[in-house]
Amino acid sequence: MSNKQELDNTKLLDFLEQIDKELDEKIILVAVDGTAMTLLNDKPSTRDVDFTIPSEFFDKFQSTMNSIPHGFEVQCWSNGLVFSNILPDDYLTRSKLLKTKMKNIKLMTLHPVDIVVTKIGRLNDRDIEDIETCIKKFKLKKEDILQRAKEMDYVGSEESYQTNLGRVIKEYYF
Amino acid sequence: MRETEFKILDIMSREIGNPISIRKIKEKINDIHGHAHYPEIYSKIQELEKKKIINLDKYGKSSIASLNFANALLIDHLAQVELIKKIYFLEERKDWQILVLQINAYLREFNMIRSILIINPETNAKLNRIEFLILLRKEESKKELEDIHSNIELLQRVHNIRIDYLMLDEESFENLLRYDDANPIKEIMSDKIAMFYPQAFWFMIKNLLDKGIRIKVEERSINPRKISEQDIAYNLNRFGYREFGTNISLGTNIGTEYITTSILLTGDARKKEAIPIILAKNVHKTNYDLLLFLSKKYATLEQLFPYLKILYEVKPSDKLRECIHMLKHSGISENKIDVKDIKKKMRLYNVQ
Repeated sequence: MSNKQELDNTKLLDFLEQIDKELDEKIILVAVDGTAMTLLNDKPSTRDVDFTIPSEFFDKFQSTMNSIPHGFEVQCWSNGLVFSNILPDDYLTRSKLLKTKMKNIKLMTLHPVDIVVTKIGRLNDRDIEDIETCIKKFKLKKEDILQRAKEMDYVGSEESYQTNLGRVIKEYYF
Repeated sequence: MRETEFKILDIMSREIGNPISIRKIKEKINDIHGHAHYPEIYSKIQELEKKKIINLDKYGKSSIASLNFANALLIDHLAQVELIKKIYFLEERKDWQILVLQINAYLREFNMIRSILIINPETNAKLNRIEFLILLRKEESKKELEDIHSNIELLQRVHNIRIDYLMLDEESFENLLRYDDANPIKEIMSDKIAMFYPQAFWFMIKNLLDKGIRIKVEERSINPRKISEQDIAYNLNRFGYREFGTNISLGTNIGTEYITTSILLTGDARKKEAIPIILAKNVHKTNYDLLLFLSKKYATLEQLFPYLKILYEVKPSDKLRECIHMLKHSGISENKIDVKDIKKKMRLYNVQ
């Protein structure tokens, strides 16, 4: 498919509500990246639908979602894995719970610091915009970002990550 | 058309074949369109009856309303209802407006197309998909059919919204409405928008009613993933296949297309052997366009493909050949199955 559609908060929630209706047990979903920022109303829309899901709910969510004919491209990772980043286990307790009408899906978003550190590895234009939004809106401290980046594992090039991290710190804190 | 009139006619158009009281109309307006004021509805219905747009019959204390297809103007009223629904649906959805514009641009030159409906528009919009039913005239041009398919595939390449579509000629549409068996066509009347050529669509419905065909609208759509074991066994038995040791109890009559899709979704290898048998024994009751549509919708085409090939060896037909040709050219791969074993079973059931 071409030209990814921009999904705003309403469209994301509408989609999840359709999945929620088909679930027969309670699960937790943690929105990451642009999906998290859109659900937090920190950006108007996202092109991608991305979640990290505690492993005990992963298969249930995937199978339920796959049972509903739909036109979204959804990326799911398990247990704090987000793209090439492995967040520490406390990612879930640090995540923010969103109030929704859903009965079975407990919808959360990553902590803003976690959103930032999981974008630094890739650091494309959208990521830069999103990082700036998170830092300014949530008044994130440099020390928190640096500390969290140390705690997180990055599967890609560590050198690239550190270069990007240095760039972000220099851009927004000096 | 005033708002109340629109709501009343919309509800009644969803209930073709189901007699409906004024109180029930009010309840359904509440469910679908929001708050409904009973006195206003009552008075508007009286007005519509005076204009002979609807008939009102007394049954005890209730007044039962039905659309008066003998009135030539009813079709225009219903076409207006469809246009209003289309506007309401599209006005908040800019990306869908573009898609609908392009559907019109890509398909308007085809003389074969009688009408195009979109099904369950609100629910499907939430799932980023569009499901449409293209109703065709009887005269068939294979070239035109292929061109329609190509144009829709082109639309899909250009749009992010997932497109699932079914093309049916008038005869197939009539047969599917006529059959007692539950099928998706009986479900469409309760939630659809006739987006293109709505008058032509309502003329078709009028013609069916004039022929004495009773249209029974199913409000609840069947989810093939949720058809019960009991209903599957009951319908397999009805269609000429019975598993050894299975108890059959009365169930709901469901068409071969839904039953086949349901079996493919369950993944039950033994039940899958029933597929070519029931399709072979029920050639005239199976609509292959509908079967392929359901298979694509529920992602079971790869599983269905090899069974259609076996079926073609045993009971060749032009329609089956077309389906297999289409599947081959769309790049669908086929799952491996034990062809020998299945043919053996088909011989047991006298279909080879």
